[in-house]
Amino acid sequence: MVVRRKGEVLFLSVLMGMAGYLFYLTFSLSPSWYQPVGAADYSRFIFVLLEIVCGLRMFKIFRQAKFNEKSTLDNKIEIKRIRNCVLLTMLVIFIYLIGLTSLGYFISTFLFLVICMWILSYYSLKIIPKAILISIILVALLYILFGQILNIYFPPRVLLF
Amino acid sequence: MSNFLIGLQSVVSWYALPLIASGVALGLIFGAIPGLTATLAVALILPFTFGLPPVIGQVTLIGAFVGGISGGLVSATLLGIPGTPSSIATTFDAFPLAKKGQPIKALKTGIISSFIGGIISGMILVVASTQLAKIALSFGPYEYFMLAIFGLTVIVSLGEDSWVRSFISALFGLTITLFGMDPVDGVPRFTFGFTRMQTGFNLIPTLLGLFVFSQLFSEIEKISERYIFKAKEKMDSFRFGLREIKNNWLNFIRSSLIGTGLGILPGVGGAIANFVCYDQAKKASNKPESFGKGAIEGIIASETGNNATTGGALVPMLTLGIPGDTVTAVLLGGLMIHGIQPGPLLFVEEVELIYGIFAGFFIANFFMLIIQYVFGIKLFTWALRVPKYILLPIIVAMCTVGCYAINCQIFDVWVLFLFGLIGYGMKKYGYPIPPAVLGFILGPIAEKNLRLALMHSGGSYLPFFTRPISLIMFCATIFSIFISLRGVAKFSRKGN
Repeated sequence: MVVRRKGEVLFLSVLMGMAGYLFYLTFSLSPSWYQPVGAADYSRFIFVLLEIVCGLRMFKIFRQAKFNEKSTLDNKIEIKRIRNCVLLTMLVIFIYLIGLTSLGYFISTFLFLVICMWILSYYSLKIIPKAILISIILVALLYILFGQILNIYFPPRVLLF
Repeated sequence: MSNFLIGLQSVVSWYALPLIASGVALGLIFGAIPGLTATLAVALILPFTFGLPPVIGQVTLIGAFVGGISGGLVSATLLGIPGTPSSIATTFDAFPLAKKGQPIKALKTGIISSFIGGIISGMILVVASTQLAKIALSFGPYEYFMLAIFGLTVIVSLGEDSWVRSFISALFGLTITLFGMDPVDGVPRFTFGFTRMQTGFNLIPTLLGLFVFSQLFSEIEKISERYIFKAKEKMDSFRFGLREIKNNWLNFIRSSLIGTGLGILPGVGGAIANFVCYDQAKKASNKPESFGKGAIEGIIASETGNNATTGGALVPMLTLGIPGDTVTAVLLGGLMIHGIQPGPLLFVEEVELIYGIFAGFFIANFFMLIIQYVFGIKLFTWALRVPKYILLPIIVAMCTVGCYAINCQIFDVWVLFLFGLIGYGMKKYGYPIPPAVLGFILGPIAEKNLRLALMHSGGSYLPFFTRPISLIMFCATIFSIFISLRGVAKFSRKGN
């Protein structure tokens, strides 16, 4: 629970920091002429409110008694395994988005689908042929729908598609 | 009545009915897939309607519109991911009900509710469209601002266990609307010198990021479970009968009226209606504590409300020529391509067309019911048999292409990813996501209309309380907050 609370404090700190920085930036906004409430005033109101409510939540968090959640070794291993799986998926999605502009939409989508299915199946090699087949079908359908029927132009790419 | 029969004659033919059914089916598919929207479905069909008679072309497009809004129910129920912004509130109860092993009950309730909402709004459209258009025209910045504030009161009841967290979430949603072009002056705000930021964050990537990616990562955390639902030998065999309709008739009527009313107002629509209907149903319920845990009243309210907006949205489009949102803008384009200028004169000069559209709207709703109830449920529940390791990457790929297709900008795809990470963080630390989305939807309406109203009144806040509709909205807001706080107090007492 302490870890979870630390995470929430960090989350709120980032939110408060962002609100504070944006509040500071409002002073560099162009003034709104003939407006009782301008763009900067309205934004400041929202940021101040956000700071107050986040502050209230922080106060509540620190006021609550802390307690540790004891976890078993097995539990720890499972938590670590799940966390790694989530982080790896995030990384794969990030690389996929970079790949959209370098490899092209269809090739990067194909690779993403195969790799992601492999990761989420807990690295089972058995599913690879199935994953390749599904990915080819899906990419082909997307190509027909978006590339041919809707005529949507995907980002410039270095490869064929 | 005779006009309606003339209209009905023009759309009931061997050649029009299959077209309407195809439009509905395509809309349902697009609505059901996260990332693809009703707008995209209507835009896809639009070129095919150029060669058709105007009335048939228009009802085919309306079919896709009705299907697109209803289709959002499917992914909201089976994946906990709203297929469209109109079905966000559906996820609150439909997904938990499906998780309890009753996906068929959740789907059937949603389908029937969508149908009833569509039919009631259609009746209102036929009977009172011109009168309602006048009411819509009387909405100025004061009324819109009060409406946005009324909508925001929903956040109190969305966060019963911690209204502070709910409030933080809503304020976060309001904050992200501040990026981009200022809605009154048109001056760039918090763009950090990036040209792409001038348009701010688009609704669909933000919504999909917050909902889909957060749900996706939560499902990955439970990846040891092979399916989203525990594999069952047999699905529940629930029948939505007259008893359910009788027990919830007030909910149906209330949600239909709210949905139609909000649908009429340009720029409001289904994204807000589903929240407001859900909130009102919760407040009126004898068992508000069951909401969020699979209450069918919640599904009825959200789905009836969002489908009722479809009829409402056609009111300003046909009577005034004002499109309320992007879908009705495409529908309007479909009429104008044929040289038809919507407006009050259309009701005098093009009786067959207008009543043909009205009749087509009813037919589209019937097709929506038949396609979903008879064929859809079997197909949708098939998705439950797809293992997570296949389903989740496909959802990511669909969301990515859907977000890119909106503006053909890779920026929107990065927005999807960014808000996905934020949404996951929020979910992990117990911050509800719906208030953030509500803040994001209502933020621009609130800011623009507050500033315009104050410019109009010379800085005086008095007109907010002296104009009749605005005053009614204000009273409704106070009443809504009071009821919500009473609910929160009850909840806290029970918790203690």
